[in-house]
Amino acid sequence: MFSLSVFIPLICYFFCIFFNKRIAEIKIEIVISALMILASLISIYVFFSVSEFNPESQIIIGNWLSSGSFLIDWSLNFNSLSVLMVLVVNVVSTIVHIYSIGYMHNDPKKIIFLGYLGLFTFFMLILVTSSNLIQLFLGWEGVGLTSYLLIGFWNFKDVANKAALKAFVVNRIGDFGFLLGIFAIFFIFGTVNFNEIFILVESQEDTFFKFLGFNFHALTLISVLLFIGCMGKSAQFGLHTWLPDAMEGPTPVSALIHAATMVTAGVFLLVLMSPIIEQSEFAQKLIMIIGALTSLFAASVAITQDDIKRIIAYSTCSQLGYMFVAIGCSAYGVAMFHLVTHAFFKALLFLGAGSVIHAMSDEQNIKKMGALYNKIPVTYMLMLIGTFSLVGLPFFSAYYSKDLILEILYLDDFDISIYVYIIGIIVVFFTSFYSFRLLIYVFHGESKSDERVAAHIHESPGIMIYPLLILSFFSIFSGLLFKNYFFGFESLSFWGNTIYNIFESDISYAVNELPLSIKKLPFMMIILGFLASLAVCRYLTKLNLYLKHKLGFLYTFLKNKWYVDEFYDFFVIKPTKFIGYGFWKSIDKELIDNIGPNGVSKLIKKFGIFVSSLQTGYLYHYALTIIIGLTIFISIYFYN
Amino acid sequence: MNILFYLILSSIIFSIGLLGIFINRKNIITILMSIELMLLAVNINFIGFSNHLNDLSGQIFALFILVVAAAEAAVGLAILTIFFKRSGSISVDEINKMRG
Amino acid sequence: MVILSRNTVYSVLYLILSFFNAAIIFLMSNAEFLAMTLIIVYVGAVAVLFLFVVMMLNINVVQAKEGMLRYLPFGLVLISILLIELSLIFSDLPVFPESNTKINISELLNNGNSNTKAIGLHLYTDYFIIFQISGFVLLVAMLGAIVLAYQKNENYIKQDVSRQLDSDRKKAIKLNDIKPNR
Repeated sequence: MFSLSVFIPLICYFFCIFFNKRIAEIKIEIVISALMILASLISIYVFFSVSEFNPESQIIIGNWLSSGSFLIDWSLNFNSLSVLMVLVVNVVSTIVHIYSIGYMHNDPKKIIFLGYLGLFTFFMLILVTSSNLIQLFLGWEGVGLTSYLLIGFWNFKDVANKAALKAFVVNRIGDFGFLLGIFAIFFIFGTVNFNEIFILVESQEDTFFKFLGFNFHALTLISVLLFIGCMGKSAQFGLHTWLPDAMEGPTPVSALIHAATMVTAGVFLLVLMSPIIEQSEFAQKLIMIIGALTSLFAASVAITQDDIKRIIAYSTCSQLGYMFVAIGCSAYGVAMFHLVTHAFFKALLFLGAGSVIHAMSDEQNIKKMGALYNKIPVTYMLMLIGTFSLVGLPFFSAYYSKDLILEILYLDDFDISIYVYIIGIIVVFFTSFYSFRLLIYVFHGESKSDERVAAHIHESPGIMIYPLLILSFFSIFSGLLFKNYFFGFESLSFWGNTIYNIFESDISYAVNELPLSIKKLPFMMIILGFLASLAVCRYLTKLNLYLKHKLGFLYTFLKNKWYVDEFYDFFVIKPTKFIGYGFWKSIDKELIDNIGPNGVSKLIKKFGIFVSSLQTGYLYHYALTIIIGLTIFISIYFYN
Repeated sequence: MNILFYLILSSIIFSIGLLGIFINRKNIITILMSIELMLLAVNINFIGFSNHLNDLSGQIFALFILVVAAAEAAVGLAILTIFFKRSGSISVDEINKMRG
Repeated sequence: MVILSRNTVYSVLYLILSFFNAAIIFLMSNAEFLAMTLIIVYVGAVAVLFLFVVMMLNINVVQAKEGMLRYLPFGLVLISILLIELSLIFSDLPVFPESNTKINISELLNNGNSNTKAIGLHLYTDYFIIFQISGFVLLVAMLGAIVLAYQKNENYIKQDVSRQLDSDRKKAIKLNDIKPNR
């Protein structure tokens, strides 16, 4: 049953690939949708049955590698953490599948696209259900691959190809860290199976690596390496540059991969490895700082962006930062909680944005939209719900998850956590600001689009709207629905020992005891942000200009995304290119080519000419050679 | 008779045959004759050892060498004839078709 | 002189001379049959064959030995080195033991066999296969020589048996229909 929900997407993929162009598209679409809905239903069923009875088991499919004591099985982990992720991935994926049928209906490669989506879903499920690091890495790379394929799906667009390549390359850097982390884990623990690792964690508390004369605390090193991997996949500050560019892919891809599922893989991994992370205070602090920095960075950049999808992408980045902050202060359950709610409302936002783009005939610049609220009312409502959830208005989903993160952060006892808390509050303000700015620019104000486009504005077809309705339901209610699973007393029984949680039960009391001012602070910030955006973008456009003028340097700084890309370009890409060029010129061309292939061929040619010049064809030359040889041999014999 | 006599005689004849092969530039027939000389040297060696060791096998082998030499002479001369008909010369200098 | 004389005919004659000398040496070393064979086969057949070819080909004698002197010194040096080395090796040759094969010459001769009979006894028994093979070698050489030297001459008339048998009445006459006024 459980494995069925994992393998159905793979079946979908093969179905799409084999039957593409063989049978009518509509038939394929129906079959795919039915299969995916089935998978979602199964995963919902499995989730609830696990949350009821909490059975933990591994489904071993087969033996993969066995080398000495190094054993890896193909197996599915069957516990609360994995079924939760399976649920989220399958539901969002199903919705995106159905949505794509509508969104891509003019695309000639639609079926292939659906196939890729299925493949991606499968890899993601492999990732989340894996019971060892190697299989997880397979899924990790698999989603990277499919992400590459899907970002570059419109490969006639040069930008899309470059973005796909960028995503792939930046992810490689992270993967390198992850891989080193795996090696380190194998080195320390001698196994890559999660269960065995977690049993052994306590015993390795005081292990040190000796490297270049430095002593590294082994578990800290592992945590940091794993975190580097997660930074790549989850687009944290430093390795985030691929995420905004990845928006060149089709919008459903952005919703599925770059909002709901793949980017959260990093969070998932850290939550999974929580017993190790918990042993290292340094790693926790690092994760917290990077997370806070990311959320601040992304939220501030999102304020100045004009591309609707990029804004949402940066917002994703910033929400992921929240999740890492939560991990940093040991609130793993809460991080997962935010992951789940975020998956729903961010998918909703992306798909809503896709709907807007669809309506505006592929226009993505919010400055060229406006006054759409009465033309596409349903989409407007859906976007509104998504935004409310994102900023965390009371009783919407993020209200529960995000506020919990902030409150736990407030209570956390690291020396830095209070600063992180302040950043978090500021980010709430920013979030509210850019979200409402987006809404105002897109749906209110005057229409700034061309007449031709304006005449063509239309509500999306039902096949795109109905999935969104389901999503909007989830994004409103998932907070209420899942609250108890993730936090408080019941969470302990739900999680069992899949994640590390020592003091969450205490903290849940403490959270309830918090003063009202702290509880209401985020809400105040939201209102403030809303008013500010209303003021700046809607009613006081002069103020807008004034601000732009006064804070010009800040504006350009944000507009250019903190110059991170330029920084990389200058400090990493240029030198690398220079060195690469130098190596290509000197080492490769001069040295290796001349010694290697060219040199050998030249040598052989020269030798051949020499030898063939010996072959004069004159008989007496041969005879002479024979005699000389004979003489030499006799001489050798004689003098020996 | 001393075995050394046979050996020195045969090596002298052999050397003369060798010299004949490669100082000759114009005439293949001389080369063929040089080869015959070398084979004769081998025969002398065989006979000498046969006599020295009081063993008849040496003579029998010498007989076989005679056979081979005769066959070789016949074929060589036939080739020579053909070659002469084709090119109008038997000069070794002109035989360089094997040139690499 | 075999290799040095300007005229090829002379060299052949010198070759015959050296063969005669070799035959005498053979005679001296109890190899009468081989000596006779050498004279008959070499002098009688091979040398005559050489002579025949030399006469037939009618080579320009004057230029035949041209350029020989150019290579002579080098060749002489090389050959003398070879020769000296060989002699030095021979000079400290170990004393060979008596051969342990059963074909003992003196024993055979003491039994009243002549040299020829002794060779025949062993050639047709112990070395029979090799003897047959050498016969084949000669045959192949003969065939080869004939095939190489044989040349179809179209200038004379001869019978072609297969063509004669193949012909029949219908093929003998060919009727061509020639239209008038053309």
